[in-house]
Amino acid sequence: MPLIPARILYIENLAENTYRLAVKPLYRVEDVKPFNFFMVWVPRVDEIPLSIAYRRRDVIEFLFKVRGEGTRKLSTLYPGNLIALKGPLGRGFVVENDLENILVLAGGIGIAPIPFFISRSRYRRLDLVWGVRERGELFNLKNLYPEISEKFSLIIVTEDCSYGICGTVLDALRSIDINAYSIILAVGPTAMLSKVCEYVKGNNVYVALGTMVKCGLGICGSCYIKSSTKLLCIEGPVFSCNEVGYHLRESVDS
Amino acid sequence: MSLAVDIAGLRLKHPVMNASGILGSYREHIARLASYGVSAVVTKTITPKPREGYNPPIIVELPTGGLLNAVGLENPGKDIVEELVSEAKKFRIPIIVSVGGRNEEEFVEVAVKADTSNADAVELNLSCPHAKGYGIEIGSDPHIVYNVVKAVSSTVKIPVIAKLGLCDKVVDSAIKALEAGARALTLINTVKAMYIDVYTAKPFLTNIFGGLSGPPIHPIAVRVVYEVYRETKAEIIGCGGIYDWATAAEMILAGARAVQVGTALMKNPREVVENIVKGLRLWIEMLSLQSIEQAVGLAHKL
Repeated sequence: MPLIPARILYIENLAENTYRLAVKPLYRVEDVKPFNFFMVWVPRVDEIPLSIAYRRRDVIEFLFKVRGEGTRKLSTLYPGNLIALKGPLGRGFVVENDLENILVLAGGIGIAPIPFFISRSRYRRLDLVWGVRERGELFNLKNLYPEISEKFSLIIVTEDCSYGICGTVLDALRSIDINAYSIILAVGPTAMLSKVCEYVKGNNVYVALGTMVKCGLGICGSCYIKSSTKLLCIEGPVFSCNEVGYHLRESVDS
Repeated sequence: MSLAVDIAGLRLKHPVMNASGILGSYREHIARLASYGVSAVVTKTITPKPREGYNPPIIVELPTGGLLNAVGLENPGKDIVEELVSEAKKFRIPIIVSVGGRNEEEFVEVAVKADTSNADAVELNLSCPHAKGYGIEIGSDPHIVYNVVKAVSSTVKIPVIAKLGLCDKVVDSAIKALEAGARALTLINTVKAMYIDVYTAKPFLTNIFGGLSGPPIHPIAVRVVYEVYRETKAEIIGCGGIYDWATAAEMILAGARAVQVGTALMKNPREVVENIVKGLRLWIEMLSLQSIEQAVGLAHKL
């Protein structure tokens, strides 16, 4: 798929180094699914993999944290500026079964794809545990996405105990009866995902890997999953723990 | 009816391998390429030391068709070669190590590593169009081509393949490479090109220039294979825009004994390889030939 030019509608600082970006593509975008991502071109600066945070008609939203030169520049662009999107890339992940009870674990900006996942999925119940280091990283998810606010219950965890429950996502997980859930999905830093996969065994445990994507098309191989034949940009970013357990352990160690 | 081919001393069960630059930097990549059904794997171009390559964007699909890339010869350096070779051996398929360098010494350094690691052949990348000091900058001078190929082929025991790109002197470079001891030629590499985003009025790739691949370069590649075959009768691996049996067959008729597929592996790679192989089989039968080798260069018999 060729590049799709997109106009920035708004860009809003939500929390410490955290931004919400809404763009309107100038051409029709292929149907997007939760956990699809785009390579977002920041002209002459960088191209950044961002998962879709929300979609309203022809407006696509991203949530991102400033990490490097590309995201920094992106955060300083204005409404009306043009960027370009390459995608949708990756394989989507959505739940469409009214009997499922889902536990979602999000660490930090790992929250980004969750609103879209919630809006497109069907299930009986969804509990979201969102963990951050300190309250400055938080923003009001339910206010931001009122359409989905009734579709989940939210538990907030802070490592410095400045808000909500005190501790890490893992600490929270240990106090939860995981047998109450038929699907567990974790999104966040590699170390967190690795620990989740160690703590909960089973085929129904999924992790969305942090993006280390360079070309997005299955050619450069930058995003290969260690000790497998899989590529994050083609078969990912959501994998079952069984598929990526080794990769996660190795990635944390190195 | 046989689809097996001999190229550069390698016996391949069918003529379709991957082009260098599609995966091929790590053990896991080799396993993935093997799963595509190729008859030999070609590694990413390996240089003596690791190279980081360019920052994204490094690749884009073009509205006019084809793919433009400037990855910048990113690779983990020559120490990875052993691991790549041992992985290919697990799948019992030949492995050709693509070798890059800025001078004779660097080519020899990596080629020796491939040789001692028991790779089946080396393919000298004398044609990358977007890495300064590498590739086409040396490959467009027939004398440098001679010196590099000579230095490598007089040092290693395994077959040496020279991969040449589009330039005015490609036939001369091909002749020189063969004189210097190349057992086969891979023709062609991507073609230097660029893409400008008209909405932002800016070149898209970080490196501005990249290499064009895919169907738009196929007729160019066929022409180069045809001319080089006519002048040299060399063993040629055709590369450039092949995506189905017919585009592969055209290369074979022009003089290629084997083909490499790159850009087409972007979508449904397993089916792409399988369909080319199946289609070539039917095509050979349609022409009432006994083997694919009988079709090599057939278009020259006007």
